[in-house]
Amino acid sequence: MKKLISIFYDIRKDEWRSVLLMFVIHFILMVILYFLKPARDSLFLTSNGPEDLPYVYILLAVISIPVTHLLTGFMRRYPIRSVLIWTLGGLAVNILFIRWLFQYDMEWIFMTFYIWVGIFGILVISLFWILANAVFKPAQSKRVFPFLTLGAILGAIAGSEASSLIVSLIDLSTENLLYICVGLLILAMRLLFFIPKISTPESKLDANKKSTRISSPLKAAQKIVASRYQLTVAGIIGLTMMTTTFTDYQFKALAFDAYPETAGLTAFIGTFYAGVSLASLGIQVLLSSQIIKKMGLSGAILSRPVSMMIGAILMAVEPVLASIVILNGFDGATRYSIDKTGRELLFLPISQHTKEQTKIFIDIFVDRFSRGLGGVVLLGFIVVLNWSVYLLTYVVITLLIIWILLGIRAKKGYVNKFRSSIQKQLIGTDSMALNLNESTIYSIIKESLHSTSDSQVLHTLFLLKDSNVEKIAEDLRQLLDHQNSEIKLQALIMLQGVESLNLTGEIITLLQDEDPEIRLETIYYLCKHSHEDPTSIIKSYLAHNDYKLKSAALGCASKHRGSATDLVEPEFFDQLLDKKEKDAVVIRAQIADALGYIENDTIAHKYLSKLLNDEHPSVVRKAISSIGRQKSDRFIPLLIEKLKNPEFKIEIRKTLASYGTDYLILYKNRFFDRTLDKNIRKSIPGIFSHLPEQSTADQLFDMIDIQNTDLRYHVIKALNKLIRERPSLEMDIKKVRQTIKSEALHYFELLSIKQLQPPNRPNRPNRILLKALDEKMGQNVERLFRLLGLIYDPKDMYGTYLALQSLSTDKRSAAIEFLDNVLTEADRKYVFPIGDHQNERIKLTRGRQLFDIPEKRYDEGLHQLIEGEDLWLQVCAIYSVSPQCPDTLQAKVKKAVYSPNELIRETAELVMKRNAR
Amino acid sequence: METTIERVIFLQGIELFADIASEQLAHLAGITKSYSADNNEVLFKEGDRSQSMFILINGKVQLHRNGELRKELTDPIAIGVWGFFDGEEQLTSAICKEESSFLVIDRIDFYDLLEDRVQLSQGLLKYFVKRIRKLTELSDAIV
Repeated sequence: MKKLISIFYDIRKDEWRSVLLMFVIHFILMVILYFLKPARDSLFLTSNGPEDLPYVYILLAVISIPVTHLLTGFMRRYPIRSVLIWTLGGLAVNILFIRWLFQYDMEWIFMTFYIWVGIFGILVISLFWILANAVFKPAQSKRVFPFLTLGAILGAIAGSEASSLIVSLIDLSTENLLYICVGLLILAMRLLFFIPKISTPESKLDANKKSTRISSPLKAAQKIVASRYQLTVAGIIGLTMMTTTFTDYQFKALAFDAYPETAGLTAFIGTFYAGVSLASLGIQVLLSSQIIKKMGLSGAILSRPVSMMIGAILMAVEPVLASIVILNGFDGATRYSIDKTGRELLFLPISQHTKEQTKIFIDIFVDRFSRGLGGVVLLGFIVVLNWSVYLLTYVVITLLIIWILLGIRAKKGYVNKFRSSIQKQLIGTDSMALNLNESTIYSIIKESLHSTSDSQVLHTLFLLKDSNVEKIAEDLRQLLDHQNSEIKLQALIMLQGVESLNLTGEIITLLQDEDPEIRLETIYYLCKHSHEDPTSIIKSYLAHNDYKLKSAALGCASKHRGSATDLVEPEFFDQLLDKKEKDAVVIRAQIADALGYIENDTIAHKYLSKLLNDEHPSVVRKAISSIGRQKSDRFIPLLIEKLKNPEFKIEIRKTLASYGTDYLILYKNRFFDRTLDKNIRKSIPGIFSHLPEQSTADQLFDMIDIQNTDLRYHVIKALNKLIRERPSLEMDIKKVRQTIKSEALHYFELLSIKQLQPPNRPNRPNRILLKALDEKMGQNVERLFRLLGLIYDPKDMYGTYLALQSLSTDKRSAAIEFLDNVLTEADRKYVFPIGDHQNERIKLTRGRQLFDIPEKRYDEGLHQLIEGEDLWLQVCAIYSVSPQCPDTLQAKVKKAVYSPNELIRETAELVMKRNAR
Repeated sequence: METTIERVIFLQGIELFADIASEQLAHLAGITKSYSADNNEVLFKEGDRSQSMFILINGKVQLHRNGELRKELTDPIAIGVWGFFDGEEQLTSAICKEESSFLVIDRIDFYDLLEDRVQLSQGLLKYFVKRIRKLTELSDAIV
């Protein structure tokens, strides 16, 4: 079975379990949906009649928007798997309740059931895909999702066919189909427990993004209107929804005419859906690639309206059930196959950033709005104009003509848009796999691979990952001579999968390439394209005299074979690492890289620990990235210790973050560990900012209580980064306000000490303290505004902060005015007196009113600083102690001479000498 | 000027370091070394690769270019700044014209410190932007 699937789909060794599980879940969910759909249609039509259909179209469109919002709220708080399990559980209970209601045989019950099934479809499909996006990484999605889609099509066929057979053969009433659905829902819930708990990644939370990245749907709408191309795409989607609203009504009305009994109607509709799903599968497997190959994008986007047009003309000529079956059949069969591919192609040239904003708007608002509008217009034709089902065909034909014309216009815009997006490198590399059979894509990609811009070539190569590159193999071959080693490497990796072209003779020369990665991949290419046994090829290189090839072979075996330790003796590593020849660094870097793939934990730990402290940064970087692949707990203390070295701080933080959120508590404990080097402690919050999850924010809020303001600054900074990355994260507003309050208190305490200093004292000791106090208060204000950025718009708060630092009085006044309008009373109370540029004495008076700060004497102020936590203020305060100061302060200085801190000690000694003069 | 705090106070008065927070200057002060030069001692020659920056504490230094005297410095100032930052050749020769004392910053130590203390570079950036602004305004005025 696995072999059969592997022929059509690229599913890798460690993916089978999750892929099959998701496939089965998708299959079951679609079986349920297609069990429910015929039941819903027949029960509704026999109880209410087709004339009520426009109302349910409108109601469904209206209700689906708040439901989507509600669901988004749940997904922000809970892991997606749990949300799906609860939703399915809730739906199962709903089904039982609806089945119980059916005994009363009232029209509103069937109307509710109709809308409920519609909502069920929206919920289940969107939640499933969000789960799939969370389970699979973007690079996997391109390969795995087509297989999951197959599960849906098979589920639709099975569900529709089964509902039809059960009703007609087993003599089970349509209403009782609902019990089977409950059973299947429980089965799906059970299977979901085998999926690991994953929180919803922000990038996959479509509706979530809508509410965060787009400040209002209006902005997204403006963006669409501003782009002719996007407007055309939105127009096509809107027209699709309106047209299918009309054809769906026609189909159901005529089906009801032909089968007025519930059982007959259920069986008919079930058979119809099954046929349509089967045709959809046939088109997807047999025709889609042919159509795209021969007709390109036009074929993909026009297949649906053109085929529907045939059905519509038939319907106009011969208005019978068979004609509308053909019309709707074409619609259904192309909808999830060729038309879906066409739509994805239409979105391809839109930049990732724009797509994130507008696609969601189009999917949610344009889609639902058009469905609702379709219902309203349909109602107008039926009720106001009193048009018959047959006459509505002319409306359908008109809509189809506009749809086709928009499709032609979109094709024209697509070519230019795609070319410019490739040139500007706007297309996300996680987008769909590029289909080189589509002529526009093929010619533009070919052109782009020969661009003089290295970054454009590289971006194009990244876009081609997971695409079938046989057609451009010759172009890739030419890139093997490229001077940019990254381009050369990517071209080589892609050529490894090309079977039609054997370049062994040419590629073997790359074994002498400077880049260790290229040498490694060259050996892999030779293994893949040689008639010899790959293991014996690797062994021959491991025994080679050239140490660069030895290490490349080791890397190749570790990376692509999964293990290399069975091929070499443990001493082999020592031999390579002890090399002192001119390529020693390259060899060590290659070994460091290879160790990331080695399964033997003891060997990996032994050598990676050593290489982590290598004298050459490139070797250390490779070792860090290999540790990231190994993810063994034994490396964590080593990495934390290494955080002391600022040169590798960024890489180490990323690697520690890659261990996942389970390790955050460990990092948090280290952050509070006072015995740890302060530079390491300061670096720890930065790990958290790589994990934009709710649990990360919660842990950081535990850390924000730290007394040391310097360390606290790094926690706040990490929170700022988190919220920038994922604006929907919930901040602990109470904690933020508490911290704002304590920062404000700290500010006024410093100000009160500053005010004790004689302002125009000419001697220098006092001046350095005044400067240090000003700087510390400035840092205080920065932390305050960073905190405000956690509860208000971060950009607004940063802009206000900058304006308050400005020398321009106008800018400062505008900033104060803005704060006055934006902040709530609770925040204004503490921030306003600090931000307001007024005399410091007046400021302090307001601070005293707020915090009840007692009046101090000059010596008490210095005393407080010398006793405080801030080392620099301690030093400056000691330096400020003059011979006139009271004995208690002189005693403090005397004591400081014995301080373990060198800076304090030498300053105290200096003051003692100076004051003795 | 042996202690860090004294050096911080002194460095605050040097235009190049004026925008750096005093706490950060303490780190910079930590890598400075005292140096005394004799009369007529050459600190560096025009065309030399810069290894260090000299900050004049007291004394007299003359800057020569193509054999001509360009400037005589007596107030505290940083000398050899451009070559220090871009690693290129010195534009002038610096010769002490009386016994002078300096604080010296080694280039390698300085860049090591910058790696650790990003706030230091913020202050320096401010200084360089100010200079560029000044130059732009000057060139605009000339045009």
